[in-house]
Amino acid sequence: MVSLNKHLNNFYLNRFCIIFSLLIISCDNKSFVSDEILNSYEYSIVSSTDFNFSTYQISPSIGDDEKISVGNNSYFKNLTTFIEFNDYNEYINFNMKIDSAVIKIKFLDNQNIDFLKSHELSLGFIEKPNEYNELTTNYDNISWLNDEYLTISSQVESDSNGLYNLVFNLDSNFIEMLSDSTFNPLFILEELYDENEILNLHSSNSITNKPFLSLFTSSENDTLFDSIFVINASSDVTIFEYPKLNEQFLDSNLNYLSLGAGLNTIIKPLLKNVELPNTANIIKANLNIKIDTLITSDSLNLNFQAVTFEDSAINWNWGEVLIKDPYPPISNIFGQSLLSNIENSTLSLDITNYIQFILSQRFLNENELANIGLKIDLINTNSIFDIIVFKNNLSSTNNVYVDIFYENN
Amino acid sequence: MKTIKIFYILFLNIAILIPQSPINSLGHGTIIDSPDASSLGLSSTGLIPSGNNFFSLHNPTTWTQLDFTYLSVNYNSNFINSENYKLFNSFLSGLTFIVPVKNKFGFGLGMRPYSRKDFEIFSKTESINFNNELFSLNRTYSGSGGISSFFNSLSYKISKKNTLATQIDFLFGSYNEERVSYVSTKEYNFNQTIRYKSTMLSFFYELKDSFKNRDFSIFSSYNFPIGKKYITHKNDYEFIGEINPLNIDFILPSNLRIGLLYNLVSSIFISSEFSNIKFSSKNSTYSNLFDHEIKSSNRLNLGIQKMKKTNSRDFLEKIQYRVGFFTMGHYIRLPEYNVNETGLSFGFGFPFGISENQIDLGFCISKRNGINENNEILTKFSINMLIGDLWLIKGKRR
Repeated sequence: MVSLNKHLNNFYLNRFCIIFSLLIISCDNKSFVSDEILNSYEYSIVSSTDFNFSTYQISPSIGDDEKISVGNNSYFKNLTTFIEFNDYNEYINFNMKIDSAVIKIKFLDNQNIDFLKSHELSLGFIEKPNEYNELTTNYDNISWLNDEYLTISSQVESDSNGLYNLVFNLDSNFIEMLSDSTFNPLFILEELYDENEILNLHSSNSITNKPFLSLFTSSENDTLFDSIFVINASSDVTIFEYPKLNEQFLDSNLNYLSLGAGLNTIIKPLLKNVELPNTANIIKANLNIKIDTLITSDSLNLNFQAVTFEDSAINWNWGEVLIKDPYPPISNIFGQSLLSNIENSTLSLDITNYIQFILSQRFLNENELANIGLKIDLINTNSIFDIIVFKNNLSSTNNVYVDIFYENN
Repeated sequence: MKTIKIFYILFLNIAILIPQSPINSLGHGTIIDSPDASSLGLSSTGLIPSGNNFFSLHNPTTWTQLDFTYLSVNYNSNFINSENYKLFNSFLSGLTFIVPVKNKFGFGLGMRPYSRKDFEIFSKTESINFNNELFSLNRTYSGSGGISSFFNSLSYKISKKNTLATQIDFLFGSYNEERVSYVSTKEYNFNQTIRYKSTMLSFFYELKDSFKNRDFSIFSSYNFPIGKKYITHKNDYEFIGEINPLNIDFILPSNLRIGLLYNLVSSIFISSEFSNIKFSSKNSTYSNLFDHEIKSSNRLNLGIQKMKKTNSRDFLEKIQYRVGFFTMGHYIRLPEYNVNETGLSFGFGFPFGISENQIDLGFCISKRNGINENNEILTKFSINMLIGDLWLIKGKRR
């Protein structure tokens, strides 16, 4: 009897397990669309006009540019370019004689060549002083340069490609200097007259259009030395007098950007009085800057970028003149916006990542806003002599504002 | 030995789910009201005895009269049909071990689901223009988990007519939910984990008497949270990371139930049961993905069952039959509205073996309205296996 019961129990147990197995492997569909309980999208748009602004000035960084320049404008005076050529003594020997020499420097596109119909540029030379090597770090000290050097005037010619060259046919004084192997010349390109025009030429950093020196050589005794040597420029730099923040830009309601003048501006959104939770996901944040004055020869190709620096500003004093940029490019950067340009007099920069970061930091720092600001950098500008001016929000709000589109968590 | 092995495996793989729908994603989720097959067939919450030999797995006052020790396993399948969606799932929904002692005491322990959330919801796509840039937005919400109970029950037959019982439920479990926001080409994730710890205490009372030679029983129970109850709330944000978990108090409801079982004729019994679930506060104490929350509910059921005749030679008379009807209303907070559900049920109990083993089947079909505009048709199926033995009461063999 006990055995029969066991058998029956096992019989039912087996079938029960089979039923269980069939049910367990049955499908489980659990997805559906619902709009009834999702009727409140947690998406919002807020705008803030609360900012700290700081414009400061440093000595502009010069050299290492693909352009060299000459001329003047109302802000940048006495543009002077120094050019060095590769050691041409390698090409000549004592039996050779330099018959003639010419220096050619190619203009950038869209330069006002007509300006040179009524004005001339000059080229001079001096023996390169030791101080020249310090130029990039000691820009303001060019007392070693005086007017006591020989010069020649320029000509303009176009080549077979229709490009214009600034041409200097070197006279006997220059050739005598070139023939002296102990002389280390530094060529000086400058404008003869003070006019409101700046011309840009290709520098030695240009890959295909470097300035070059052509030497035409011969020998009285040996026609083998009748030859032409083309020697490329090895280095160059343009120096100039730039406008001073504490002299020419005294309006603290304005902020300035200029590579040539070393003018920089840092902006920090304070995010006060805006309903922006610390846990929000920032979908998009745009920093909108209304441009007050734009001094540029080519506004279409003027690009900007907002760069994020840690410890961006110790204080937010306007108009400081600093010896060294406390926020140099590349170092300490941990965020940057996409490039943007000015449209309808407004520069709009995507600072989504920046806003997201300072929000997260505000959450972790118990609502204290981290000392992180945005430096507005000029990128791809065709000329370092562009100046961009925009107002702050002291006189009127909405000159600078940030629009934030976020998802609430 | 084989039985123990099977149940050991089942116990390790216990999965407690209930059908999910929009209502299932709210608050603590759905509090489970029909825990086993026999109760489902009678539309009962488990207070009225509808199982083998007038006993209920979820009413300890009915355990004292048992002759055998029982082990019970229950399994449910659910299907929800709406105009917008069709949902199906199946799950193991309870494990109970009951030991009667000398028809005077009853002791039991087991595991069962208290509430369950299990959902995945897709929102419709919207577009927002921001600074002349068009963003498409949609979200998916998903969650799973819930509260489970490990319960211990003790019943005592005070007199022939009166039986008292108490039960303590140790509630535990966790609930994970995730929201993924798709904004054009970007994706943002938000995760939250909620761990539950709480204790519930229940008291049961049964009065058994007769009226005009017809037996009747009145049952009542009151179930309420005691002691420390908290949830550990842990949020994981896309750009901040995981936040240190916080312990937050939360609100569990109390549940008052009253039921009547009346012997109509011969082996036919009618029953009625009223259940009220009530929260001590209407306000939510912790955040969910949704602001909406299931609050108090009332449930009324009527049932009729024909008890089996164990010694009958007619196979059909050995089967236990059950039919039930119920109606219930859920109050939903934010937005304020009621969800109503009305349903019919039926079930069978098939005995086997000499220790009054039984396989119970329960079916229920109901209509729920009030959420998501469209009505939902819920179809539930439950199967329960009750295996009896003389374990711990060997004296009876002599």
